[in-house]
Amino acid sequence: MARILIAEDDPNTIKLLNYRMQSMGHETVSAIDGGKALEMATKENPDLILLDIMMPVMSGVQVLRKLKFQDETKNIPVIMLTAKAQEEDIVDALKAGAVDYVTKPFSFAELAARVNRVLASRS
Amino acid sequence: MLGAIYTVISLQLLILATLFYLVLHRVIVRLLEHRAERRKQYFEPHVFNLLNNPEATEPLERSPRPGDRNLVKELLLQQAVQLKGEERQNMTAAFENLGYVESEISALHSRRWWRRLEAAINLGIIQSQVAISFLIGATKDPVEDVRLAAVRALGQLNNPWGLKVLLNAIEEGERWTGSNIVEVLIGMGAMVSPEIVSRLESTTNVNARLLYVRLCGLLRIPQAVRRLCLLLDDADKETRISAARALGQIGDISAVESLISSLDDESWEVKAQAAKALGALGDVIAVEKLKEKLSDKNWWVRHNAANSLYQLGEGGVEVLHKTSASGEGLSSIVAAQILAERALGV
Repeated sequence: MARILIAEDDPNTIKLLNYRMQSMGHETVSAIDGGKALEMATKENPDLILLDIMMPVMSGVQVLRKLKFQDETKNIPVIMLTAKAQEEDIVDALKAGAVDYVTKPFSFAELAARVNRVLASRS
Repeated sequence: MLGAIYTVISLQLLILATLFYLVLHRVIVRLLEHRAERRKQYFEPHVFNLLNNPEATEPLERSPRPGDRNLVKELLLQQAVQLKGEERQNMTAAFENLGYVESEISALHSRRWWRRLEAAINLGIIQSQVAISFLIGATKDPVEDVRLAAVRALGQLNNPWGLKVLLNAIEEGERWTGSNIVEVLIGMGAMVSPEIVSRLESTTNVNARLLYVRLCGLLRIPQAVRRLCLLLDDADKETRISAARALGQIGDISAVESLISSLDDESWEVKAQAAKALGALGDVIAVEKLKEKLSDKNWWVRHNAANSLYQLGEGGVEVLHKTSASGEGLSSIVAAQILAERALGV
């Protein structure tokens, strides 16, 4: 069982991801904007972060850069959540240190496979 | 005196009544919101259960409250729009089992156009094959927004009929707004590419051809490159401009030679677009010809040529530095300008 931080500004997406991650046996916490995501990542020290690219206060890529800059969060793996049209942002995120990305709309099977792969390599 | 007192008292009573109404209204709204939130929390776990078992609709059908049916529909739609794959198919089955597909199909015949629009949008999200023939009918709706929503929904169902309707509308040039058509076609994705390339080859309608060229660029259809290169020699200037732009957007280097030839076009707009496209294609064989265009009499041509030289990397940047240092007229000015802009990160 892992602790997963879901950083996403759409409450419906948070509910969906909570449901999926919890059905996989993981514990979840959520943040609704980039600022809170950074704060929660530092406070909760999750095993994995699902990070939306487009968020208020601070974008996903900005949050990622700050996470990689801080000693206490730089080793937390991050999977970006992105819409199909955001290809340039995906490249920026991967360059900034994201380990993977998932495009919306979600396939549960794909999401589960990517999360499991990242958690397995971390453990 | 009595009249004045009476007036003051009446005004005070009116203000009190208004305040009372506002407070009461706020309390009622809060209560209704709270109730709706509780109903939502009751239904949400059952909605999530449907993701794995679309037959498990009984808890959602049980509630007798009139507003709940719409609430459940909204919850289902909110989740369906975020999903693909097996879970999405399960949601579609759940919509069918709960009777929402039938009710939205009925709503396609509503007298209120906004309800027909909502129904077409919802059927696109629901993605039930049962709705196809009814959506095809809705592509003839008198309201353009409804027609577009029906076409978009058919695209989401991967049904080619919507594409045919739109492409025929392009040829007919009536009843549809061009920018709306482009937006919907782009939203349909890769399924439209073969048909657009085929129509680009065959159409004789100049306006339709311009729209197809634009779409080829926006959708980055590599199969259109050969035809677009031929269109760089078209008699119509707008066609040549659009073809050069589209080739830049597609980014296929097989177009480089044709675009280099277009740098000698009689129209400055074509030359400027060709110069810009060559930067996007990134092939260094364009450096020499772009260098010539640094002294073109038109500012846009010079500017785009200089920009593209910078984009072509070391060879192009070296040309810019030498030209800037030479101090020779317009070419040195534009070279210096681009180097300065890039140094500032502009």
